[in-house]
Amino acid sequence: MNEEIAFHLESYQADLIAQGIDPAEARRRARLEFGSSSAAVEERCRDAYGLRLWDDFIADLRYALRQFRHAPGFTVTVIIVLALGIGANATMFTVISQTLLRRLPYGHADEIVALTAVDREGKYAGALDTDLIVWKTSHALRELLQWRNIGLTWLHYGTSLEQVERTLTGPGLCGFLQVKPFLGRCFTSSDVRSGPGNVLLLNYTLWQKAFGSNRNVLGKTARIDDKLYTIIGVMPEGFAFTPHGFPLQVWTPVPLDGTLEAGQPPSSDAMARLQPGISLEQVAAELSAKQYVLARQHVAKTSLDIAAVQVKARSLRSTLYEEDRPALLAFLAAVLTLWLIACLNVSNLLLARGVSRQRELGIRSALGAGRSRIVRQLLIESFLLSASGTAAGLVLAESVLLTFAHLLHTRLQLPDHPVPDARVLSALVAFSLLSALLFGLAPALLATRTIREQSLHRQSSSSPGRGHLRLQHALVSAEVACTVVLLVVCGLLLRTVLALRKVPLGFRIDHVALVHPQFPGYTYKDKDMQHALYGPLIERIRAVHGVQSAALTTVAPLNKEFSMMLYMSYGDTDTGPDSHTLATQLHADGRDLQKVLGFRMRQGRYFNASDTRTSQPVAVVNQTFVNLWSKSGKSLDEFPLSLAKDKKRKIRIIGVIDDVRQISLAEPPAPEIDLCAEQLLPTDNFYQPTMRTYAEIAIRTAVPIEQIAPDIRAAMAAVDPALKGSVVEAMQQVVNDNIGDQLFAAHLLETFGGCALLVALTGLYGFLAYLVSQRTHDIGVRLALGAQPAAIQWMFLARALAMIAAGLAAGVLVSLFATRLVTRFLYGVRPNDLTTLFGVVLVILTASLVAAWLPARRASNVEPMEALREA
Amino acid sequence: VGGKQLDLLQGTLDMLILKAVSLAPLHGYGVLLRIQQISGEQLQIQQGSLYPALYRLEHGGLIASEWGESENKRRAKYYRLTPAGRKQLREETVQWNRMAAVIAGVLNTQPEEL
Repeated sequence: MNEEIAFHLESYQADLIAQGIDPAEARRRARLEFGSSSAAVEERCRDAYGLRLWDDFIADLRYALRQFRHAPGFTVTVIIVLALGIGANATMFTVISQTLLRRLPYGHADEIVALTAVDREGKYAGALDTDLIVWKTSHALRELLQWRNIGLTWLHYGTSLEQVERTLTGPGLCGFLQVKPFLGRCFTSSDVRSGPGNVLLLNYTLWQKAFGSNRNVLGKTARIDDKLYTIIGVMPEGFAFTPHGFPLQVWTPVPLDGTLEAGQPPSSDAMARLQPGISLEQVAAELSAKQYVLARQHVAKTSLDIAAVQVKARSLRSTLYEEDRPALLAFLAAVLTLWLIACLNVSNLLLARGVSRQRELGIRSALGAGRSRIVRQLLIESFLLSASGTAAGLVLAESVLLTFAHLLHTRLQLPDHPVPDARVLSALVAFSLLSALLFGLAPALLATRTIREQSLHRQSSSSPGRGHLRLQHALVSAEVACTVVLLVVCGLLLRTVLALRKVPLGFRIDHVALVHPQFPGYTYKDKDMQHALYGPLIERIRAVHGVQSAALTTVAPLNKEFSMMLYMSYGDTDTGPDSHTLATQLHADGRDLQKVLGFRMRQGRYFNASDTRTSQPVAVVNQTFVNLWSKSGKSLDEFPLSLAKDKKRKIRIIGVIDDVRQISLAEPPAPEIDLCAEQLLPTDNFYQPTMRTYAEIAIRTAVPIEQIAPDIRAAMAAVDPALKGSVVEAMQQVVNDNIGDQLFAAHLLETFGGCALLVALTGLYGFLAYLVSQRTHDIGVRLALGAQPAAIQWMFLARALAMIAAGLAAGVLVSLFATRLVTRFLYGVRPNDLTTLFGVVLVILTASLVAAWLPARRASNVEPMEALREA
Repeated sequence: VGGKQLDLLQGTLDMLILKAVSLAPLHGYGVLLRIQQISGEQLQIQQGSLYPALYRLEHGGLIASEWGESENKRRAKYYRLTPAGRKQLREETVQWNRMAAVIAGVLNTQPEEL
């Protein structure tokens, strides 16, 4: 463009010279006739070209940067506050994007419905294959896929041995999920023609790890436990089913005909795709009606009232991270609140700054800048601040994610190095724009309005307009209110942690270690576990220097992963089974368990050396069991169960132990029956659900556990080399992990709450300090006329108090509702806990009065003469 | 330079530029000279308004430009008419002629014709 104009001027000049005009005069004439200045022409040209908006934008940007350089303190404060608010959100968005909103590796994944059979109380019960066969006839369903997660098993291939998660599915796995295998083929119905198929699908990671990405695996044979399977395919990278399970997975097909593979759990789960136009409620209602009939038949057959009576239908996505969903959503609410506080604060800072910039804006407006032009300029400043805050927040988020990477990986199966993905980044861009609008629009509009109200001749330090002050008051109050909500929730969680710490465990935790031996189960398939493994294992461990005692327990206290329930009917079955089913925890424990865990006996005795395989079978029960049993009107001597099938080995109850927390600290103890592990024979009824299913060894040591752990592992490996990797865990750690969720939540909320309090106090302090500086002149006059410093101080304090009180009142009101969100995390404290509420109000009141008192004192210390002279 | 020069009527510059470049591709200064030449030196064009108008027309797709070499061997930007510009010129010409006829008719009205 410049070149073109230069060419024009030159050509014209040349023509003029040709007409006989002196060259210098020619240049002057050329420039003169071209018009005012070539810069102005250029601007009009760019305007004509549609570049005006862009040029203005660049100019505004440069101007904004200059403004920031003028006020570095202000700029840095704003960016830090925004980085806190947006960084916390970036972190949470990343976590949620990879959990609740995780991409499901199936076709039309959002159509898939999870069908779950539940019992009368709505708890998971699991359906039988015979139930699923009936469900499948429903006209509401287009397709149904049954599946059964077996959990971790061992896969052998050549010399490699891998622990893998195994899922049995209907032969229609790939068709239902609308995926194609990466290699080979999927199951077909001919695979299950004669019962469970002996073909195997691998997931991609397993194929890479155990098979070295070898394409020739198809047709090869691998062993799972002691059964041989032919590998027929490899699923594509990223495919997982169950959706967020173990990294190494395999699938084998089962038919839906009621035949079961021996030793597998009888209950199945199902997924479905619905016929068009059918709602989740309709499916649930229809299947529940079918299930109710099935349940009656089942109860009539077994006389146990444990059958599933209803069917729940939910979208597959909503079943993801079911346990963690409320916690994740509660955190999301917390970080959104923090963000809101940050925006309110920045808005307040901008308002204060807007007043001191009134003169500048006035001049611009006098020079012809329209209102929209000035608003645009101010908004661009806001966007720039917001963008910087977002960038800083992203860095903050990334470092927080790295710090918690391990925890996020173990708790939520996030990738090892979670990074904000494209979805999170685009959400953040939207978020930062929204922030800028939220905190920038009101100050910008207000600033331009006051320009019109006030003229240029006012002093540069003109006092803010009424609108300004009202808005700033409201903003400070809102910040206080949000802080109250965050701190109340945080306080409730802290009280929960305290209450959980005080829960009587019923056993000792110091110098107690737990180890869960994991080995390929088939190696002991036909062997007597006690003779072949657990007996020698415990003997070896006991021989380790520093070990005082060791005992087997088929599930140690506070184990969240596993529990074995025994359903027994008692009383008169003729009157109907409903109220006569007692659900109780079933354990088999070693004779020395009491020595290790140190729980107390209420009555009778614990197992001892006199209890052997040949003596009468004995058991102990806990106090809760006694309380429930007594309702049957029978004594404990009438306990009806026997160990052997022919009722020969009748169990005698010899003692009552104190209640022990079985699953978690927050759950009250369930009834419990403990059999003596040393007495159980492989032929006994209770052998399979205890000794064969899940066992841990509890160890009492005289020395610190981390010191002795390698020796224990070595002792175990001497019995079976497969056990060399066993994890020896301190009981103290188990307890900590058990309250880990609440503890983690409380720590996180403490951090958020602390940030929020700090930001809100800065807001209050900043606003009052600004108010004082604006009114120095005014204060000087008052003092000169004889006002008492104390009265001046009170004037400001009263103002602060009004704002704080409004904020506190609103905050308390909102938190009454907000605390309902976290009810399920609380223990030993009610959501509307007055102590917490008062505590939080007191903390905020004290802290904010200090923050208000500092500027108020400055006001009363104003030197009248100086203040007047400055003006 | 003969006679008094006329100031350009509002909104007619675009039309004149289109006409000028429809005869042959021209650079900016050439457009100025051409308009003066074909108007018999009667029309006075503000040199400062020429380029904004050129850019506006180019932005609107009525003319297109490319760099070429001028008579005096300098690099210069040449403008030529696009098909859209040709259509526009035709329409504007028709419209202008009709308007001119109407206005001439109005101005020629004699009292007895009323």
